Amino acid sequence: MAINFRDKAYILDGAMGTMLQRSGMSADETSTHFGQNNPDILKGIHKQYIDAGADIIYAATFGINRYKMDELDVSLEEAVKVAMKAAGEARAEAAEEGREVKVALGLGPIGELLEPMGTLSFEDAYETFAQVIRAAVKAGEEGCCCSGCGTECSCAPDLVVIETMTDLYEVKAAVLAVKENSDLPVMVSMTFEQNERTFTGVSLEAMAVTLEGLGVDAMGINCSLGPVEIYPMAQKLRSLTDLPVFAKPNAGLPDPATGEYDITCDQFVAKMSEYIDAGINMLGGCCGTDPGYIKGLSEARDKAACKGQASGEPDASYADEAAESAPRVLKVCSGNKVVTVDHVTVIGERINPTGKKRLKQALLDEDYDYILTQAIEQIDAGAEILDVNVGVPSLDDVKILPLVVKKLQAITDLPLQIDSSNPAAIEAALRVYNGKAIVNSVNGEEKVMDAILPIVKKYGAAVVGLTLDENGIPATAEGRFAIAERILDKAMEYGIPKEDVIIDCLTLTVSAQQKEAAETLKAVKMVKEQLGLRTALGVSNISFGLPARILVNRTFLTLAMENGLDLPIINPNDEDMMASILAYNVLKNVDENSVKYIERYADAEIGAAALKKSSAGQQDAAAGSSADAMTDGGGSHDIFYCIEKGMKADTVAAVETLLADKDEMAVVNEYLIPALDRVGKGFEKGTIFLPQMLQAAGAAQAGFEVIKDRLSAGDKEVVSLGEVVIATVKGDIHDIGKNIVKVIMENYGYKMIDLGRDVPKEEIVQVVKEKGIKLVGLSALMTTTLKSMEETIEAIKNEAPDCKVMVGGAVLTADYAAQIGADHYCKDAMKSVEAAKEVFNG
Amino acid sequence: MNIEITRSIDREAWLKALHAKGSADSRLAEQMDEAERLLKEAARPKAVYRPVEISTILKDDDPDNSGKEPAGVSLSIKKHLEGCNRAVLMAVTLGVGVDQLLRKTQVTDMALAVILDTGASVLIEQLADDFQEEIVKKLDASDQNDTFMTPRFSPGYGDWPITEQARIVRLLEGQRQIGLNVTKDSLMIPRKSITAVIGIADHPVKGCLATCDECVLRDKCLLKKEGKFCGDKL
Repeated sequence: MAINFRDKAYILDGAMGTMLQRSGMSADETSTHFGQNNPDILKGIHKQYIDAGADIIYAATFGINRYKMDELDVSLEEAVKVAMKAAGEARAEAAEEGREVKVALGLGPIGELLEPMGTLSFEDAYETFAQVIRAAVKAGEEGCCCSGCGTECSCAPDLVVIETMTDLYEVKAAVLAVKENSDLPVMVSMTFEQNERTFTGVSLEAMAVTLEGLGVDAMGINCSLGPVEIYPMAQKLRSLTDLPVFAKPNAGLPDPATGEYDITCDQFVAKMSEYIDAGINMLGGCCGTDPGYIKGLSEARDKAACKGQASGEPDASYADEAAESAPRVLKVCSGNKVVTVDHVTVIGERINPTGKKRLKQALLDEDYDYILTQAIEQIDAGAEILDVNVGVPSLDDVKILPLVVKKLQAITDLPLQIDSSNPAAIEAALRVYNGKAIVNSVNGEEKVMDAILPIVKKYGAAVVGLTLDENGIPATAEGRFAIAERILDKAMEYGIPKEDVIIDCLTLTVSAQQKEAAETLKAVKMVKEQLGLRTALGVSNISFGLPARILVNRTFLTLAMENGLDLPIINPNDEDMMASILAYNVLKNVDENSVKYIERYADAEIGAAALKKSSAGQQDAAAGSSADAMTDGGGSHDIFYCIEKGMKADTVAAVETLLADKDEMAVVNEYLIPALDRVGKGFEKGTIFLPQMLQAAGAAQAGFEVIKDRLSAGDKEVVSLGEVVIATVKGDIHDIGKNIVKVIMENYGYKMIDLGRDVPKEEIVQVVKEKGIKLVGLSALMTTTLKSMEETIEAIKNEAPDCKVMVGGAVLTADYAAQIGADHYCKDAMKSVEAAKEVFNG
Repeated sequence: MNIEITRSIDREAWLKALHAKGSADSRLAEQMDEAERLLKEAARPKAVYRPVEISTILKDDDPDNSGKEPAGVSLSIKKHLEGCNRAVLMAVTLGVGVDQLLRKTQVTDMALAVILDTGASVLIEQLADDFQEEIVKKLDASDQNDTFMTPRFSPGYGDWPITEQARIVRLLEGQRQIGLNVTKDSLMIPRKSITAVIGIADHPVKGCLATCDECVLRDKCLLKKEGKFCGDKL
């Protein structure tokens, strides 16, 4: 059902809401509700737009979805059919007059925000859109819908338009829903503010990169602003993609008090004519526009066609121009951030349990905060992309990899590299990823490529190809180059753009295969120069088995960069490696005026000890660390003082000193816990305030990290005082109080299973039963969610009578807590520690 | 529309929100400065308002609601708007950037997270105050008669049900105008946002904030325990 959007300049329709208001809709009624009750008015408006010259009309399905059922008096299926029928009849009547008009199924924002901003899951959003699409397809298949009208009409959509979107993640759910539930072409337009970002922070570039990958047919901008404000953005979007671009501006800007738009039809049309000249070949109007505006656009199009501008293949010429001016460069992105790989781009390698016991344990314990901390450390150190690998043999990576991806994208906007060899895990992770990711990796084996490349194509990712195959790693550069060529050919066969193929020529251990280090470097150079591809290398493997590994690592890294390495996969916390890259960028005239180098190393001291970052370079890295820097780090205070004052670095130093002659648990029981108790008592008395207590907890936590590292290095388990499930109840999304309790209780040695916020009672009960939990902590901050808390307690008591429940939250009182069946009421975090002591120590 | 942060976050109110009595020690003061810098960097404040009829607020003749369950009748909002000719709905938000900052900081530094969270709450109140003054000025300019306003009154306050949040945001076109959303459980996203109704009259009106007896927080309110009333300025 392909539509050639390039064959001419298309005229789209104008506002529906504005027209409905003029047809008598009251200001308090929704367009959906009014339209559903007045299908003849809908049809009439469609016809007016067609008469004005629209080639594509949007059916009034924009606001129909399962989250807005309160706007409907009928089922979703019926509502979709009513709207499609109104547009379908208008299309049929136009056909009788010899006009070919296309009907688009319109999809607007669901109205509930997706995670992590809101509570709607990606899967739920997908299904919400899929339901509407299936309803439209079904309505179309049922054939002639208006019995007796005597025309060849149908409710079937010719295409789908996803419009007025602000969240790229929601767009992705909608696009996948279209592609997996129909074979209809799909156009997407998002709505931007004057700073060229959507409300959720999506840039034009992130939109272009992601949507090209997902295989949409056209992209554009609609609503929010008028043609004058949107014009520069439309031009920019035109330069960012080879796909057809469309625009549907408002009739200027609204008066905040009256809602009236501020430009006339003539002004609108005059400005829009410039769009045609700029190669934007589909034009319509959004809020405030009417058939007059569309008629004007249609005439402007016809005028331009006479001059030869808007007919034939306007886009093709623009695409050619773009191709000539700049070859396409690899770009990856998250929802809010695009990384263009036109410089040495560091991929942080730390989220990979291979050889890292502490991370492996964290994955097994579902201690995701540890993983997130690893991510933030790497971001602060200068990583631009994060590799994510959860390969622990006993773990189900199809479940865990997407989960970790979701958690990471809640706290960072760095693009991710999905690292797995399991196609199912890769697909699960790519599906929930917001943006354009990298897949690490495929290799030259046919069956590996056939399993993974179609997934890479479907989700519009980039892919790393390892130069090995069923025969192993070729010893020579030429052998590896041959595999790289094969991977590129295969990727392109699957429709993956050339610039999205990255080759990893494989670093071998120089102490074992000394001759081959040079082969790796040579292969990198060949791939870069002869195939024109980006290259990646895991670097540190080179020095395995040698002393002073860093010297070998950084020298190899420098050689590799000189030979064309674009994407070193390294530990960015290793300052020597980062320093080599920064110095390289100075020498290659990439870091202009050495700005970045000087910023990072102006005050650096290079002594016998390892190179350290200067304090200037850390300023914007660790938020809130400035206070530490003033007093902390001297290492001369006793541990009680350090913890009470929240001095992280000194606490770590003190713990390390104590560990010289005490075992780990003695340090915990004789120092860390008593120090926390002292702080807790101060808090009770009111001499220590919440932020100070949390600072103390943060310092103690840093001390515990030292202990945990030592224990997992010695294959010893951290002794837990008990497992506690903690959650904010269903319906509530306040979680800061719950997180405070979590931090404090963790410090006291309890293993906290944090189920998050808005947690259904069923999920809590399931975890309690599965793990034999003895204590659950519930939080609710609103009077409206106390009911939900009560139901959760009831469910726990029914299913697991031995499990105790403690509750907390602003609107709770001790009386009310008792009334809803809680065993403990905790007015603050210290009280939850007391409750736990009672439960676990009796 | 975009609005500017024109003043710094009120330290007195902020410390109160942190339950820190008296003044901040130098460490806390420094962290509050840092938090303020981070908040101003992450925030992209926006606001929207719309004059409406009183009946729209009270839902006496809401055509969209025909045949459906009426929302709980609120006495306190009725009393608040008594004697007013019209009302203005308003909403302000700090934007999703602050939410993301709070999420990230809760992983790395809980103490800073609490300082940021409370600071953001104080900041959005200040912005609502400032925006309310803007509205007064605009009404002054456009209408010589109706120039008196009541204080703000928000869903969830007094006995005005928080479930009204969704309707208020819809009437303001919050999602399209300023990126303000309401969950099915009546919570606003971005989290640091305020919606309110203000009564407008042609004579001085004070409004009538909910009494402590009408308030859902009556058993729990710290101000009440201290013998104070939330309607009084700090």
